[in-house]
Amino acid sequence: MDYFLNQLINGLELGSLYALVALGYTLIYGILELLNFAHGDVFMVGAFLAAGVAALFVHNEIAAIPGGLVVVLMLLVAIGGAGVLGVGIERVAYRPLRNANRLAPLITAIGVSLFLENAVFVWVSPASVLVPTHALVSQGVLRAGVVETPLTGLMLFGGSLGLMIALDLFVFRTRFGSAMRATAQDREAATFMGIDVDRVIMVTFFLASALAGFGGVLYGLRYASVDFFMGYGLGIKAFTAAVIGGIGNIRGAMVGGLLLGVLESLSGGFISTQFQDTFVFLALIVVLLVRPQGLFGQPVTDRA
Amino acid sequence: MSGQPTAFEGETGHALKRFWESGPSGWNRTLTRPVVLVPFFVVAALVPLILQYVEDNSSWIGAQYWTLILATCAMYACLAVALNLVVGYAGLLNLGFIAFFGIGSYAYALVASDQIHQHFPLWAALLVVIVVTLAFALLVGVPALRLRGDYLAIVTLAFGLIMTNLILDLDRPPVLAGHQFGPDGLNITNGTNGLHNVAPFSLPTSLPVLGAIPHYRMYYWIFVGFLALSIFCMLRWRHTRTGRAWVAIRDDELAARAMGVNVFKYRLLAFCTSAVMAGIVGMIDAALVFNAYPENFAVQQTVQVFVMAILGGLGSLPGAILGAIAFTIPPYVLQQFVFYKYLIISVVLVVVMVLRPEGLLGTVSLRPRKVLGGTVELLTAESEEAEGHPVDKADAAEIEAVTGEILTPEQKL
Amino acid sequence: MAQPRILILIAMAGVGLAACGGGSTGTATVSKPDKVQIAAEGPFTGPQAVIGAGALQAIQLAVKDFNAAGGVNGTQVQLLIWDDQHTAQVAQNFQAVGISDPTVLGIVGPMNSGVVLGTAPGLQQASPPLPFVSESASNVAVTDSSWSVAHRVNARDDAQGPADAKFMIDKGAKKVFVMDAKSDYSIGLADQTEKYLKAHNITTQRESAQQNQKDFSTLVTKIKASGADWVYFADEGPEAVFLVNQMSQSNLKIGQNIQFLGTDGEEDSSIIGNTQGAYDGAYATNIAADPAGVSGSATQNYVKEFKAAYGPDSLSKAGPFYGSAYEAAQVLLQAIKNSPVNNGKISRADVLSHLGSDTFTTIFGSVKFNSKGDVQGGGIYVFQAQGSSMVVLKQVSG
Repeated sequence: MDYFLNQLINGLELGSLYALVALGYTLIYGILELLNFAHGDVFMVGAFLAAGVAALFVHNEIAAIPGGLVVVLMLLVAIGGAGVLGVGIERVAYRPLRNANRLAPLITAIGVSLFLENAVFVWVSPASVLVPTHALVSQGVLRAGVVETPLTGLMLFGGSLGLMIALDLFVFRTRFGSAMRATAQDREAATFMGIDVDRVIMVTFFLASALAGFGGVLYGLRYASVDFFMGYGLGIKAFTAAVIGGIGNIRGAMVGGLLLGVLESLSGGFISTQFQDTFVFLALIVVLLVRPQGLFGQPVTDRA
Repeated sequence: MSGQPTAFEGETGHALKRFWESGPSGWNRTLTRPVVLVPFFVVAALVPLILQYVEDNSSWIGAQYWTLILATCAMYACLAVALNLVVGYAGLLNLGFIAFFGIGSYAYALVASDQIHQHFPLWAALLVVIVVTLAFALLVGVPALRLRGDYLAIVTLAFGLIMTNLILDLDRPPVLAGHQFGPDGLNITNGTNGLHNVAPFSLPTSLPVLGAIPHYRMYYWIFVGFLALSIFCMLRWRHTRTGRAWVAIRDDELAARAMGVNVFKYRLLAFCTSAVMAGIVGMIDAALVFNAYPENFAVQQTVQVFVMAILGGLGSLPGAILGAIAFTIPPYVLQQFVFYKYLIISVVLVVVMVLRPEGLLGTVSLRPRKVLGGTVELLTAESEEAEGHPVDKADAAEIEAVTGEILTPEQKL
Repeated sequence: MAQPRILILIAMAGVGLAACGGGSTGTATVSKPDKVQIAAEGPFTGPQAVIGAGALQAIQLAVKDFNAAGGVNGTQVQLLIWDDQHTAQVAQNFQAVGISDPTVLGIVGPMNSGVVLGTAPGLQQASPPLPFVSESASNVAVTDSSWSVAHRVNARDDAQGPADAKFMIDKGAKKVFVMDAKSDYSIGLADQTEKYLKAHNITTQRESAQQNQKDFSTLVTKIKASGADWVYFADEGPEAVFLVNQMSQSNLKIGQNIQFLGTDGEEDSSIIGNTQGAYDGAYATNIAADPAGVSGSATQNYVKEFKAAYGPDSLSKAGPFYGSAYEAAQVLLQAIKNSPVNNGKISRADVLSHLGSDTFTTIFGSVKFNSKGDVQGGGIYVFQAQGSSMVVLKQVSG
């Protein structure tokens, strides 16, 4: 039983990271019906920015800055940097294609993804870059009965959950959120209602990318290392999570992410680590066959 | 590309100008005429001989290298044509496409190597490849094709990822929950190393006129031949009932369904045909390189073929060839830039797509339509394609029946 | 068909072929070859670039050093770069250059065993055969397939696997948790180790990490539940940092309640710092020594030179094979230099026979190949993390 509980917690922590990145996919898909293949790489860039800040201040003997402040700085830089990057990508690679056929932005997304990966590979590092997490946050372990989990994992879980709730409130409780939802439902009608669609799309990209940047910071703190290829694998998993939850659906992405994490750690823990990913993707197929719109998605109708 | 339509127009400059002004659908129309395609393939077939001649008569060395690169181009062109069928014609976003290529190459490798000690004759191996890829296509296609749009894309992507994992893992008996399945030493796929010493096709190594044919040149010809065959079939197919049904479904599934088109049947047909084509290409590739290896399944490969098909222009067969060439050759040419080559390529890719969203030669737009039955642009493009062949009354009626679109008299010709 | 011709021209410019090269110009000076080329082959971009990029830098450095020292009797060696992206197909396309151009005298690489196994027959059938010296292909079949062209400077899986297993048995292992990372190298090695352990009645549990895995919590929980007293992780990447960190967080302390044996890439002393000392007491073996961890002026000078050429932090990005890649390039270049020059030409057949017969001086000392193409008396180094550095415990001969 304690084995099961521990694996469950492992899964929830990993899943919250998936959920955070999945939200980005789902937000952008909801507004633009665009599979933003570069999103995983935005996450990667955010993580690298955070790692850079950490390296700058932790190895710097001149000014001793407390760890907490460094983490705040990391968050600011990663969130801001990733957000701006996301907006920039939208401006350069997607906006000119907004009225083009659906597959063209898919290709520019692939191009952007290829560019970001190779840019980091060439100009930053082909190998992994370590994040001095032990100098920043407590590496302690929380033990409650039979269950134990590192504090950084808990932080990952708590941080992601908090941010997801904030995002949910933003989208469903604010004026701007309703503008976003209106744009998602019908872009043209939203324009008629006086909504500045360009601005909504820009903000959506900023939000989605900022979430990825935030995820990048938590990732660095939890796993202590970042590399240029990390966005690819995590991107696919997060994307899967978004789909399981019902792509375009914010709450679905959260649940989908957590579910995927749990599924991964339980199948690894109880069946086989060798076939872990196989089971995860098999589960995706099964979910989609039973509920083609995902767990929380609206049944697909033709847009008339 | 030998895109100069000089053969059928008197004045070269004038013809070129008209060609340029005819726009993408005009280019496609011109480039898919037999008078262009036949010389193109003849020249393509002669290229290795020309390269060999240049190598023999100068200090330049690289006939084999460039023939192999062009063989790779031809291989990707075949894949892009197959992908074009499923995405460009039928509108199915099959992100697991490359898995069928991999399945084809592994299926062939298993019956033509020492891995399970089978050496089938060519026809039997081809049959095995077709049956196996078809079986996998049905396995995925039958349930997945009931899904729509992007969900189909994701199920196929998941299928591709599962295949990638299975190829890596089926080199030793699977151990699930502590229990080992199968006997010790069971090794189907040879894991990360791939299958080696795959026998090439047992074909004559020399021909009457041409003399001895090196291995790589033979396979270049096989690829070019398969490409020509595929393009011929596609061009024929496009104007049949099936071809028009695909276009109708891609444009507006609801309307097609309303008109009594068996959407599922036609989708499955496109899906399976393209899968089998990819499988055969995989088989030829395995014979060319004597290997089947796990990278055959890499998602990046799917991405690459997608880029080629879309860069060239969805729905355009010359576009598929152009895209394959435009995306295969640069990494080789830019080799000395090593780490920078993909930076350059990615920037060019984004710029080209922004400037020409429909692809270099594309005519098809897969935009989600806001207006029911909004298929006008497509039909225009299609009927323009058909200009060369007079559309008879029955055909026009069928287009109307299939797509629910009333043709203008002009379109009816 | 204007395009291929243009491309050919570009390629000629790119590859650096001089159009008027030709063999007819060489007359009097017998000892100076007209043109010498070697190729570096490996996955230099893409996901596998973690191991490839540093190796390429090392090979470029080796060629530069060799040329600075006079090259082959005054002729500068040109380096071709073949980024095979870990696929046999791309590898074969590139190798066609070497197969048809007799001035390409050898290959440093291919790095992945899978690529070697897929392409070696083609290199063998070339006339004359095109020799290669790999810096990292460890699968036994690479040199056991009786290809005369095959050479490698790294150790074999069946040398490292049993050596690793024996080491753990000698240290009193009862139950070993064997992990691979789903890569060419890692699976082959883990298989060998597990086989040896099983044959000696040691209980094993085999698990896999995914490639590029960071979250090891599932596996760590599994290790705890398994009751294993040794963890064996066959990997060439830096993943050990994550595994060890997460083990330590779950109260699996190396040297106290669990023992750890890692492989290449895990003898990196930076792991100790990056795990805050949790790695202290762990063991690691490698098939290709890290020059930074080998005492002696040759290796230390090389490390200095590498840092000077690629930046002070370049070692941390260089991957596990930047030493063996330099060594492999040195071996190949010396074999070329030892070969006779006839009419301004060096024959690949001579290079091949010199590779087989000569003894070469490398940064790791002298190297001689046995009849299969493995280094004679080459061995496995066993390291242990002690304090803040990795200390060589012993060398096990292969």
